Amino acid sequence: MTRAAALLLLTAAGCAGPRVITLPDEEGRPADVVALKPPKPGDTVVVEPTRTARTTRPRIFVRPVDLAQLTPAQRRLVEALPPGPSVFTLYYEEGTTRLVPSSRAQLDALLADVRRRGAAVDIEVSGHTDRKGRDADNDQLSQDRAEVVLMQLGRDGVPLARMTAVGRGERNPRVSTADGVDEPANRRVEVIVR
Amino acid sequence: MRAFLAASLMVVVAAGPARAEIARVKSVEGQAHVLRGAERIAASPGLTLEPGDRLVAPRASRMSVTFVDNSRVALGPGTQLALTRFDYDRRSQSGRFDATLRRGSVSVVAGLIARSGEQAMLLRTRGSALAIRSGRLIVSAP
Repeated sequence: MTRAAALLLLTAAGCAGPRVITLPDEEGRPADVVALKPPKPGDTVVVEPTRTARTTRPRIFVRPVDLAQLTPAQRRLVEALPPGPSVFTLYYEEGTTRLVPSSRAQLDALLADVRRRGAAVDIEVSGHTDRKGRDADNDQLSQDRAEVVLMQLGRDGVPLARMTAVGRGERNPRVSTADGVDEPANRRVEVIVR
Repeated sequence: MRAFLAASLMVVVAAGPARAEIARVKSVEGQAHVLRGAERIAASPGLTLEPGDRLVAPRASRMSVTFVDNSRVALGPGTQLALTRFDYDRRSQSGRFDATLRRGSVSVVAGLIARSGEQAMLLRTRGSALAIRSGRLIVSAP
């Protein structure tokens, strides 16, 4: 914080409470913050104009702050946030670990996203099946699907320690169906890249 | 009796190494580190974090972290942030996240835990607590 900002806070706030500045998230959704145990009356919680901050009992002075009014230090702190996660879904041909043709572009997009994030990446892979076939076979198939993706990422240079893979069988369907139904939307691998 | 002992031992063994990974360090500048019990661990990209860890970014240092519920935090210089509690159920995408800002400033983006309840994600400072539901914010300790 700059000295000027600190002084401003002192005069405005009597200075016992935290300072809070809310901004919309990267998708533009407004922040939603509730002060549960606000500082003493007269302390400051600073809220950006698009706020939906709700303030409860003891009174809090809410002073709108513009994005442009962020100090360089505050701006730097916001810019230091890691990029948000990406989610990819790959679909498979029935009973196999073969991607359906339309998912190949998704796989390329996944690999590109992982490369862009560099050394600090971590990846969560979960495999799923439809409800056709025996539960035990589906558990194995979902695990195989997840591991094939894991190997692919491994070949692309991602260390195994940065990845987890789990097969969930038919237990987490994307589309609910009766048992025995071969629903293509459920034959999938979901990959979260952080 | 032996069987009972063996069974309880197995439970302990199973519980021992199961300290959940709750987050990973994504970027580090300067002397940022993690205090875990009596241990001091130099922070580096990829370091996994556990509940109870205290994150420290001394003067001229910074650190950023992504949690398994997709919450994200960046610590500015001169900041101490304790990860008091972090319970997360991946299937239901719900849980509790309590952090305490002892000094300095953090920027925060709420993740999935925050959406799972009015007070599921709490950021405490001395004498106050903020329930974070969504959005980005900067919080500076008093």
